[in-house]
Amino acid sequence: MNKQPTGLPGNSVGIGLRSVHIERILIQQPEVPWFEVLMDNHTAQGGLIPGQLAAVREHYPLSLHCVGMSLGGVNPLDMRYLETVKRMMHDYTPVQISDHLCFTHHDSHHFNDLLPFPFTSESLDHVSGRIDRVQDYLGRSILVENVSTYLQFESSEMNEAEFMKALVDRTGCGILLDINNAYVNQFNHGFSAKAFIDTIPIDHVGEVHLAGFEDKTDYLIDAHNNRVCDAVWELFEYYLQFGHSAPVLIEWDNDIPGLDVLLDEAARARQIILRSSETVTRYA
Amino acid sequence: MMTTVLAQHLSEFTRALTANSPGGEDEFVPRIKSSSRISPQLALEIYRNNTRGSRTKAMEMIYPACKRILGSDTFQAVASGYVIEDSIGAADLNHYGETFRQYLGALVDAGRLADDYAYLPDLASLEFKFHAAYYADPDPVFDFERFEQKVKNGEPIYLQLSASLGMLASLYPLNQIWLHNHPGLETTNNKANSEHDVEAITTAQYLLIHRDEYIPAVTPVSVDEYRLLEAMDSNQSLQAVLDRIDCDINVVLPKLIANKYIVGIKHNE
Repeated sequence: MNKQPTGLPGNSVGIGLRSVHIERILIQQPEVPWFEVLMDNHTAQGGLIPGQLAAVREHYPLSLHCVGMSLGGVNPLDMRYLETVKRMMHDYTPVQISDHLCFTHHDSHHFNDLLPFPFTSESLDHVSGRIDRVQDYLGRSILVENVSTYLQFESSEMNEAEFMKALVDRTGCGILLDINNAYVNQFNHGFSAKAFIDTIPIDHVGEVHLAGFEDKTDYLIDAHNNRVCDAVWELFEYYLQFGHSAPVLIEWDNDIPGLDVLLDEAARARQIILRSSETVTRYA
Repeated sequence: MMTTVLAQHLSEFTRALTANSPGGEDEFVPRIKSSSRISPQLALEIYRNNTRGSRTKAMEMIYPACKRILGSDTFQAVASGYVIEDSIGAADLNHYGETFRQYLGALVDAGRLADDYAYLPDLASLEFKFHAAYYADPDPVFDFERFEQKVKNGEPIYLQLSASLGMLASLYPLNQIWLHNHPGLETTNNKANSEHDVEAITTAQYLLIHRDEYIPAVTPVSVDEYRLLEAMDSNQSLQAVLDRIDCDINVVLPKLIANKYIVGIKHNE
């Protein structure tokens, strides 16, 4: 499958659409280049939600972020879930669609969390096949996001970046690079987030996520409940030095602050992008 | 389900996360690399907490009146107990926790929640229906021409209820408790006569939970209207319903249609 252009302005900084902000967004129409929608929170076909989403879509491009494809899972693909994705593609014409490199359910158990799986050649065959089937069904490529983890498998034969690189080669999917997740994993597991960024095929990054974590002193939880930390901003600058220009998202899911805080974080991201592009241009 | 090493690992991981008995983690722990600064046991606890946290948060959204009545700490404790007992979960957290009503009832029956809270299971039922109504599919517009045609032809008529319609009969003054405690509806001078004073009422209160356009509402209705809708919901034809329930259909039916509780004629009769 051919790589798809993202359709979002390069280096533009979007914000995760949260229901507490929608009224203000619709009234004030702040200068935000695009919003990312958590699909699983907006699947309703009646009532307030679809009307609000359609109204936002009238003014802004949307990106559809999913958590339920369970790409790393071994249950059969949930076709009802994919039907919903397809319906929302039709209704809201999102410029891109993404999900995570994880599994979210197994047998009859639903975890509502992003669980890791071993990075083996067997898993690679399996996950590639699932991504192929998802992309064929949706008729477009998707972005696959690296996740924060709290354990690693003894049986893994490669690291997450190598696994993602192989997925891109095999399926033509894109990468959603979550820099906060790479940092959380660096802290929790001790491997280099820069090495992660160095290894993934950077030209295939279709979107970048920036978020905050919860510091538990001995480890970090990917809670999306804080401002982006300095170390993650530095990693973002490191990523930008490659001169790539994927759209960037400020992601905040818990203890959601006022819209101004998110706009402020987006402004900081834009400043860093601007500074970085000047540096890249100077040395090009 | 595949029977591969990957499937085996995911099954062991699942058992480690869902087993509520000692030893449930034993087969999975050796699969975890020990090089992280997070021990295998802590890693599993983090994942368990994430799952339980997501579900508890969903329940806080679905049951705000129960939370307000119990208080935040007690609600957290009760909801956590529910979540821990439920190892299956739900793919869509917008529809999580439907059986909370039964769980609360069992707590009251077992004396783990005071008898003062005997009305709480009914309130939980109302809250879940209210939440479900918010997410319900849109309804069709009632087809009066088709209805008239069927009446004219003497055909059996099976009426379709609104997708958002929930029904609840309670022996407690549930509507008042709801009005006092649902966020956005409470008024300053009627805070729950302290809900501990709630006593069963002599005749049941019949409530409909329904979303017309955007926001659901709770409406008390007469017993006749309630029984009529209940019978239609159990797939009885209009003629069969009228044989059983004594009411002035020329008054009641137009009202139920005008209120959009009845939205069409079923095709599958």
